[in-house]
Amino acid sequence: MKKSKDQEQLKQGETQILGMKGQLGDLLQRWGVLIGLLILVLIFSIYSRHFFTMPNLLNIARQTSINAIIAVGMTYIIITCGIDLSVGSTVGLTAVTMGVAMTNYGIPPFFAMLLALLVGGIIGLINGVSVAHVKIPPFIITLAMMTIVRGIAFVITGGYPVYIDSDFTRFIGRGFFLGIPTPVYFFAVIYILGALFLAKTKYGRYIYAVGGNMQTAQYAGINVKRILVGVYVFTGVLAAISGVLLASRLASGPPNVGTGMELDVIAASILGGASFAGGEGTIGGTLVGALLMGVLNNGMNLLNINPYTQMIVQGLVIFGAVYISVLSSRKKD
Amino acid sequence: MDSILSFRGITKHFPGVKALDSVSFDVKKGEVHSIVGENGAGKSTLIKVIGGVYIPEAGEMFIGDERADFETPMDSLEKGIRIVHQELNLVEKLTVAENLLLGNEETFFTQSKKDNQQALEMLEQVGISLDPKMKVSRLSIGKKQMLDIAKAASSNPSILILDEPTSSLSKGEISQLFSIIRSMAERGITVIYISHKLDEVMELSDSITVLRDGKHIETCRKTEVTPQKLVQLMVARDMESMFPEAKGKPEKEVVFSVENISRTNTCHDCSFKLYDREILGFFGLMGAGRTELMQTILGVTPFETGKVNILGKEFSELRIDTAIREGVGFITEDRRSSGIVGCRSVKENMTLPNLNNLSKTFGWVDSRKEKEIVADYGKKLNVRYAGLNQLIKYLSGGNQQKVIVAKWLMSQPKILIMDEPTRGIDVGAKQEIYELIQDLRKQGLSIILISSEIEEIMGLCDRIIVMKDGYIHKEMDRETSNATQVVEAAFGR
Repeated sequence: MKKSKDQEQLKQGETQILGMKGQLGDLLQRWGVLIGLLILVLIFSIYSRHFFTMPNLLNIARQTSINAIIAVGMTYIIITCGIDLSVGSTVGLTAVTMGVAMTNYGIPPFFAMLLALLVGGIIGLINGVSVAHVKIPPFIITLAMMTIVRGIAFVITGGYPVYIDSDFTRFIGRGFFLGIPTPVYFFAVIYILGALFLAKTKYGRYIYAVGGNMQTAQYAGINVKRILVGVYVFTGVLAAISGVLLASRLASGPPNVGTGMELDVIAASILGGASFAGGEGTIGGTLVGALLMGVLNNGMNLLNINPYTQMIVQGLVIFGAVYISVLSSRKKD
Repeated sequence: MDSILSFRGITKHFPGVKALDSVSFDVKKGEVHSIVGENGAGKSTLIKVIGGVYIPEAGEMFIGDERADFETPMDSLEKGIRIVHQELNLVEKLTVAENLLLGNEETFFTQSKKDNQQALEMLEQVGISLDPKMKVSRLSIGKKQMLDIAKAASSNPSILILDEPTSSLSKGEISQLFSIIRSMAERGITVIYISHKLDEVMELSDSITVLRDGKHIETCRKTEVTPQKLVQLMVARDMESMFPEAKGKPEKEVVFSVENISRTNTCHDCSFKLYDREILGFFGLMGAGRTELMQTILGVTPFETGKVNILGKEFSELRIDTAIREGVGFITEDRRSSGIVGCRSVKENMTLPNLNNLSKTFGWVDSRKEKEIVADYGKKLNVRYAGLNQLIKYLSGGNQQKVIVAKWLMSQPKILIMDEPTRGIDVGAKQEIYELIQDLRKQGLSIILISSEIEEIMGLCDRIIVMKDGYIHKEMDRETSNATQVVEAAFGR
């Protein structure tokens, strides 16, 4: 048995080294994406004189806001061990809804927007009830909803964009208030409220508990189903807000708008440290993740990098971040 | 007869527990050798040593005359050792034949007809009649168990180890299994049989080994012992000093009562009362339905008939959140799967069921109050942690358990149900929990203590309810009964 003793000592040594690596991994996981973001900003500032200018920074903020807003809800869902693939289609259908309501039915812009939010909420409700009560895996039900919702958007419009124009929508989508683009205000308010809700209220705690250990949450008397339905409805409404902002900016509701957006949104959450194993993730992290994706996009455009190459770079960034996060979490257990 | 498997001083530690303490005995070739002992006696650890899953820190194991240093399960398999675990090792979606031949397919393309024929022969050889074309998922649990045994036996092992094989079998299936085991023994296969059903052990075995607290107590021929003697050997232990003096005694008033609670396949017509400041023990074998009964009473899985009375309020249906609100706390049996949220902090774990009292409008948590109360309870229960924000998974089992106790005390229950509160924690922490249980009684709580350790039941409880097969089998007074009687009741005597 001497041999096995030596082996165990060896193993102990190994775990110590791994432990140190784990700390480094922790550090990288926690601050790595932020450091990455700062490095990107530095590089783009050096190579492009347009990058670090006020108009461009505001432009980044406005461009990022669309994905970033949904990423708040996506992070909530991922914390509960879920996923929502239907958000991109929800953006499309809500944009179309707003357009049709305004143009075909003459509904005033503000009420058309509310209607769009209602549609987003209903999509979220269907997702949430299916996950919480019917117990369909989130991936499956939201994949189905992604196709269904997109199809509805095409059926309603016959495939053609719906024209949207009014002073109000122009102000919401393209306007400025106190020198800052209007969508950025939505972006800011949703992040502040979203972060406080998750970190400071009991409901936020329940979201973490449900994702971290559903049984423990249930035994603690938490209404697990209500929490699950809640996060999906919330995400549906956020996708609708993005849909409204996007349609207002484009001055039209094209039925294909938001295609593939779910992937960028999920990427932002994951870069921000949300774990598919559940129970982990913060809105601050998600903000950094979303900004990183936005900056990367904008900077590469300014540097005239081939769009196909851009796709590769984006994929590599996601791969790298998730690789680090998986490594460090494996060390911990 | 020569011995085929010998242990000499096998020792294995886990953090805080000596799971095997210098165990030495011999298993003779071709015999049916039973290993008995309470939960935690070291049976499963020993099996894992034989199976090459655990490497002992000291001691030697011999197969025949040859020394065996197993480092991986493969080493054990190569020596012809097969283990059938309680959790079955079958692929549900495949057929009986496909399962039997899994990993031993001879050709690239499977040949159903030939494979089915081969499987049929294998089954016949062991004496089990099953349709090879049947999907495993459509078999009864008993048949699956048989199939798993057939699979292990078909490779002509030298030693076949069966871990609690009868727990899901019917009477008929058990006698069928026994004749299979006997015919295997006649063919020269050594069978090691793990069970805590003493009547089966007495019926089947040639030799019996008793383990207790990781120590080898006795190995004897079946003819040399009686079931009573075995029970005594399994439980006799000096633990008096572990338990604090009773601090107070039960009052006359009933605080919690359960009447005729039933749920299909879980518990049947269960009724009991809990008195003010009483410590009521629930004892039974694994699978007796104690945990399931509590889950049903509290509405985790709703009961179908019956009613529950909490502090004078009657409920004909109950949900766990209502039960908590009415003053019941439930410390669950499995810390990891239903007690803690591993990836969250000590603080968040402790306040999880109590956030309603710690939050204001919009559910805003009063973080100063929260920190104070968590630090307060942490100190009261002597929890050792690096900081309130330390993740709970980094605490030791005993400290995790204290956080769980704290979280339920914080909700100020009147009735506290503790399901195996000392499972898997070290002796020191156990004593602290015992001390705490008596303190809680002194403070006016009534406690239901589920435990599989008879010493705990005898050392702490005022009254003992013994459960068996989902029924309340017997109610006993601690003053007038001894450990042996209680264990015998659990075995159904």
